[in-house]
Amino acid sequence: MTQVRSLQGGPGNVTCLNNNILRIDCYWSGPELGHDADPWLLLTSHQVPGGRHRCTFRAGLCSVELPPEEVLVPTDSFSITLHLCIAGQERASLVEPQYLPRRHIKLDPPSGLQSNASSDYCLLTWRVNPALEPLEAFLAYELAFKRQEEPWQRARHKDRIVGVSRLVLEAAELAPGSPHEARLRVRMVQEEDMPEDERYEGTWSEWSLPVHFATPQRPEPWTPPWGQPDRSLVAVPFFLLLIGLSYLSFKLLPRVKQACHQHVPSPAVFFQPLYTEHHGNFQTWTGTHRVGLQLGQADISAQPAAPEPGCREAVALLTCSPAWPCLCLEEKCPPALGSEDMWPTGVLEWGDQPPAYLPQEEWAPVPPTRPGPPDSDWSYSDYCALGCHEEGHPSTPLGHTQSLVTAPALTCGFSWHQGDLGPQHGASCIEAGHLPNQGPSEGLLSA
Amino acid sequence: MLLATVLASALFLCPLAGQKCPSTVGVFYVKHLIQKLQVTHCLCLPVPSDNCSTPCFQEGLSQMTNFSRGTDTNIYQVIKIVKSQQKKNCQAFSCGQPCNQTTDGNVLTFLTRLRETFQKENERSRNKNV
Repeated sequence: MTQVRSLQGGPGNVTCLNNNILRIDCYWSGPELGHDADPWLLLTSHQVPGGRHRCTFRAGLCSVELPPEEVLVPTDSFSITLHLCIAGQERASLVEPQYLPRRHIKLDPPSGLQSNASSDYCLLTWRVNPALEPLEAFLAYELAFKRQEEPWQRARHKDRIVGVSRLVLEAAELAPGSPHEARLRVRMVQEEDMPEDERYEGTWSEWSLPVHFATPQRPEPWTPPWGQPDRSLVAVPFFLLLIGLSYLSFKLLPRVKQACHQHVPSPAVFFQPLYTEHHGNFQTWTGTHRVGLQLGQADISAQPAAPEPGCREAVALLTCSPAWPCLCLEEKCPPALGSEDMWPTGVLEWGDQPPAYLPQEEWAPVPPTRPGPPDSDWSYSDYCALGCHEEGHPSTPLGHTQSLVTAPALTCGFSWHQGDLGPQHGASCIEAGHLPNQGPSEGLLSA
Repeated sequence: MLLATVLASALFLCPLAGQKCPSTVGVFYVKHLIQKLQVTHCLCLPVPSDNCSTPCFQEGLSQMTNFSRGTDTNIYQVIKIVKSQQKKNCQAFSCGQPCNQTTDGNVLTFLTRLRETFQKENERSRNKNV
């Protein structure tokens, strides 16, 4: 676009675009160019000797048709002058000293747009001018397609179509049951590595003539006998079903939990004193025994032979059975021991504030003190040992009342043994402070 | 006087030495002609056998134009590219001598040689850019 001055002194623009073959179109935009005669342009080629071409403006447009031997190539350049006739005198003004056609390209629209619809797609083909076929790799297209009754403003577009002269429109891209139409336009594009002397620039061409085609016949999907339901008819029941399921899950969850836990045995059978005397209140029960235990613990060192009746009584019913394998057993249960084989864990070491529960993270592994019975045929993986350890009597059978009362410094431990520790009975005795890296009460039942 | 001559020569030769002669589009045109004409055209064209190739190319292209009765725009495009290369004094197209040292070839041989010449000029232009 080149700005020139019109005869009336007002500014105007001359824009010359070419189709990169044989035609150059120039447009005048601005005030009226004169009255005596139509203004005209003179295009003088810098490459072709004697290549001078005149075009006269009609309604602001003039067009030059070059001879075949002057077909436009990237190396072409022209000078353009505007000629006016005012009061019988011709005036000329230089519009463009070096007009490079390759930088002002507006190609002709593609021609011969055709469609070939099949069951799955619609194939669109087109042609370009044979003179542009060598430059097919530089041609980019934009396709617009729509239903026939729609305006072109609502058409869908496809671009980035480069270097081809055919395109497939899938059936899924088209509205079923409606005739469609499509049109195409083209422009020159080039990669960045193209030499500057040969780089094309321009605008989109006009749209091609549209082509009409029927929608490809898609295979009918299966529909229920009552016909294809509307989307809302499907969505509403679906959401109702979701809401119903959510309500039921929240409503039934407590019952499910209750049902899952209905087979948990009551500990009342195994803690008869706890339930008969203290109505199952563990804290009350432990408070009752704490005083006795503290006194008894002090007496143990002085009178090792005196058994601690409270402790024994409490543990008397601590046995494992298949119905209730162990207080903290997860997999296997060691053979049931006699009532004398167990001690209430940590009974002798509870402080003034008894714990309300047994924190599992404080269970410490206890090293095996003796191998299990050779005839033991159940495998140990994870189990807990509840019992007392007696210093200096590692071989003494655990759980025997004798070992409990003769230990000089006796603590009751409730320990969790890993399976790789080997066969181990549920009761073992350790002396407080003998566990490596642990305090005297760590690993024992102490809050 | 000598200094003036040297300066004048330098001023005259420098633009030519720095001239870039890319003809990527020329290669595209010739490739298209090879695909289009190699089967249908049976001509005996002068294939240049030395560095002075422009006259031979112009002569061969002229024969092709006559054979196609002037209807093939692609041939004109190639002719214009060769002329512009000659006008720019590009190395492979700067020779103005008559087309003497030639071998006869068909359209395919002729166009293949022309394409190779364009490609050599492209290579030279790229080297100048580097």
